[in-house]
Amino acid sequence: MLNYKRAQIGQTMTWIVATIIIVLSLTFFVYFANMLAQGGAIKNAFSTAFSDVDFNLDEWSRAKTELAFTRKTGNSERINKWIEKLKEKDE
Amino acid sequence: MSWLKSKKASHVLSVYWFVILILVAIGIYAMISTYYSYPTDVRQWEANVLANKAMDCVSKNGVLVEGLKSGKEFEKDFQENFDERCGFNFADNNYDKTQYYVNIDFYEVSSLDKIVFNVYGGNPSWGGTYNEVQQEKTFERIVQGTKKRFYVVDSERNQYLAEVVSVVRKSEQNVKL
Repeated sequence: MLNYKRAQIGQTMTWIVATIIIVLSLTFFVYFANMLAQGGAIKNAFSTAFSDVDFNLDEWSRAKTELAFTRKTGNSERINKWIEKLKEKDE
Repeated sequence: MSWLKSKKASHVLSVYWFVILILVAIGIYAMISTYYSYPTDVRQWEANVLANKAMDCVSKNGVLVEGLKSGKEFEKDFQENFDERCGFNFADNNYDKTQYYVNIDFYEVSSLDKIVFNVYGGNPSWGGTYNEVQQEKTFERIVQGTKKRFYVVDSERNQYLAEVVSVVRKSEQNVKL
């Protein structure tokens, strides 16, 4: 009778501990998913997917400038300095 | 009697299993919904594309496009119909107000502090907000934008420098406010 009761308590404890483990691991995974989304994981994945495409197309404005220089080269130092000044501000 | 107890225990156990199953399902749903509820902020790229389109609209092969300048004067008509000339349509059914802003200032190489001509499209108030974002990152979530500079000549080889500012708001679709 005593052994049976002990076994019953032991089994109940096992279930309680199992429940706690399940709840804790679920909470951890929900928290982890939240951190992953917040930490820019999606954004990074998006950037990687489009890594071949230069979205920050500074190349575009540079190409336009280069083409204009093929028409007239004067004041090139002054022009380049003015364009570079913007990048310095951004940095 | 012990057989009866065992049946009762098995009944409790199956209820417990259902509770655990529901709990796990709720957990998985919470994980997925949390992950996907964070929007991807693509406004920086949108602003870049807008700025490039604006540059294409005023400069072709390094020369100012036809209709932007006639003789020594810049065309007022181009200024007034900038959206139409450049093929911009800033209307968005999801918003009452225009969510975009693009502005191009032209400077003469000899005087870089004086704007000789300016064209803009969209909602100018986002331009002001973007300037504040640049000074301090306070309104970063409200607008995102970009600033680009390039060199261009007119058909008579007069030199100009241009600065493009493009701003995108659309914060409801791109960030959690």
